Amino acid sequence: MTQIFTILWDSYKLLTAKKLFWITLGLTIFIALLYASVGFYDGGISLFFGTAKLDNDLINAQSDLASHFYMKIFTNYLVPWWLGLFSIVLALISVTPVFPNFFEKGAIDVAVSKPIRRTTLFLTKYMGCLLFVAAQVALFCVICYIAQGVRIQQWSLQIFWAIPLLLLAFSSIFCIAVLTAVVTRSTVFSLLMALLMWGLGVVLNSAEKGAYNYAYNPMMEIARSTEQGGINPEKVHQITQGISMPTPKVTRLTNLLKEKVKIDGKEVGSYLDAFLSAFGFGEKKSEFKLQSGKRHSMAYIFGSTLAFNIVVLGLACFLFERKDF
Amino acid sequence: MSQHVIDIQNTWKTYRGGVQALRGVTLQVPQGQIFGFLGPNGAGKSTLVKILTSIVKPSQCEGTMLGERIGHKKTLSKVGYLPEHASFPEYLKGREVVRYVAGLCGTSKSLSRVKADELLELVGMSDWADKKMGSYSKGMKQRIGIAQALVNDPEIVFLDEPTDGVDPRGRKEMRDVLVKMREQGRTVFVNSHLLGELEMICDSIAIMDRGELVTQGTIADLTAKSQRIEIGYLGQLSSDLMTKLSAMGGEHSAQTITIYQKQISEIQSIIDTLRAGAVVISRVEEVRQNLEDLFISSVSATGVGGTQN
Ligand SMILES: Nc1ncnc2c1ncn2[C@@H]1O[C@H](COP(=O)(O)OP(=O)(O)OP(=O)(O)O)[C@@H](O)[C@H]1O
Ligand SMILES: [Mg+2]
Repeated sequence: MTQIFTILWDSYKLLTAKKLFWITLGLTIFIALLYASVGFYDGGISLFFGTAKLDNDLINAQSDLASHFYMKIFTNYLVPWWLGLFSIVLALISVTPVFPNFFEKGAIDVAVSKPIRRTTLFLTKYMGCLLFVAAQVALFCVICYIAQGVRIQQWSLQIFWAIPLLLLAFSSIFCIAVLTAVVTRSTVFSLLMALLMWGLGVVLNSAEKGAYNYAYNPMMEIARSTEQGGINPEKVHQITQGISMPTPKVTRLTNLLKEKVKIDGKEVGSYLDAFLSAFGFGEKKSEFKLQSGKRHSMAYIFGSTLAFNIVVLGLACFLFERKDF
Repeated sequence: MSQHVIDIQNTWKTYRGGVQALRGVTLQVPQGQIFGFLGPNGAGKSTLVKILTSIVKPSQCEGTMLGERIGHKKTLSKVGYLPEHASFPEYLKGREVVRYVAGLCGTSKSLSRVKADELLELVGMSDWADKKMGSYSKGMKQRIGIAQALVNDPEIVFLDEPTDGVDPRGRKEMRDVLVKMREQGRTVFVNSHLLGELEMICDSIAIMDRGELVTQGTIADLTAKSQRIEIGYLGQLSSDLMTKLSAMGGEHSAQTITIYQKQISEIQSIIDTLRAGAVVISRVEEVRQNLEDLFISSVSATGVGGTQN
């Protein structure tokens, strides 16, 4: 136990010694507070703790729409964009050097020559990095949770689903960096590989989405029928699905939060969407779009990403176990 | 358990890429000694130490360390190690490094605090202990390196070029530390190129060359073969005298008669013979090879490195 704490303590020391850590932490708090600064008064929306006011007849303290609006900012923007993109990139930049630093000649020797199994050493180090990300996401969620409670009286514990979802998403990118680090010991290369594979995942998953759209969207009927001698669109979708299955699904994971968070048993935004479309604002989500969003079960998205994690991490661990330093 | 804390046979290591760093090394290290491990660059010294500390996996290795098979993790809690070109986290303070290593060895928090203070004092780093590693000079880092190698009260301490970058006074202090370790009953295993220093403190040595062990033993034993007495004289020797001296075991060259492997008491008769022949004796001297001569004569004269496949 002492050994595990020591490894975690060392990772903590390494991370907090970096400026980037404090910058990321500062930004996280800043964004969360920005969210908390949004409020509602009888005539509309107030920003920056009431310093700016936007009059709005639909979204105000009097209307139920305010809670949907406020929650939607969290589930549809803050989580996928801030947590799911920017903070993952920032976290990746901060924690990627942990493993290459650890593998440096003259440094790794000390750790590896101690009475502790290499696998334990490796996995603890990895967990330390995840813990660091978890702490940041948790802090963010806590601030947002309190903000939602105070602003719209929704004490929705479901928003904490963001932590495991984000952690899995982050881990599925980070494990690529770690595997690269075991092989090359290079920070830059690790980071590049991680971003590259992330990009590849996005491309493959978008291709799958596109293929699904082409194969099943009723609006594509005409296009499908005019195509001559082409390959069966459903087949194309099956192939793209097969290729994209073993890839990490960061975007889709973060989007899962939308399904988890409900307001009074209703999906966030559905009320708002319906209301807006009734008045001719915005477009009501087509049946197909809704169906498309749910074409994969949560288990599929979670499971395939988790499997990817386990395989990549397992390989990295296996190589680390056998490596001569 | 045998008298030998390290007792390995037939140790082979071929790195990926085909470098044969070790070729059938058999080595015994007696308990409680300072053991010097020498060899030219690339001889495989560090490789052997890394195998013993489980950093490198041997291609083949039989035998034991502290009574356990090589690579047994638990045994390593009784082993201290200072790697070659050690680099410790720059973001940690000297004291933190020592305690970090103590933690990795599983030493309890309270014990590691006491140990750290004691060891930092021992290596003369008490005043600097609360500064970051990044601000240390090379020699200071090396001192911290020694301290961390001792933090788990090891029975064997491996030091791979411990005096690398340490100033002369520091080296003297380090020798004292090594001697102190021996007094405490620890076995100290030192890789070094500084033969003069090793000669001062080592009980036994082993010399490696190109992945093979060429000699092993106490310095006294190893240099005994070269022990000789030289008698210098002035003037010329008659041929009659020369024959007599050869019969008595003396070898003669340029104004010097050399007698191998004899005690001074055993050569008095030669002196008598010379004096009887009215030869002027200018000096009588007992000569012994030093470690450097031994080293040079043991290792092959060409090149460095392991053996390429
Ligand atoms: N990680 C490694 N991968 C491949 N080859 C290696 C590795 N480490 C060492 N070698 C090779 O093994 C041989 C022995 O190296 P080693 O470091 O054991 O020598 P050494 O006796 O400690 O030399 P020095 O006195 O220069 O420290 C060398 O030829 C070296 O090139
Ligand atoms: Mg070496």
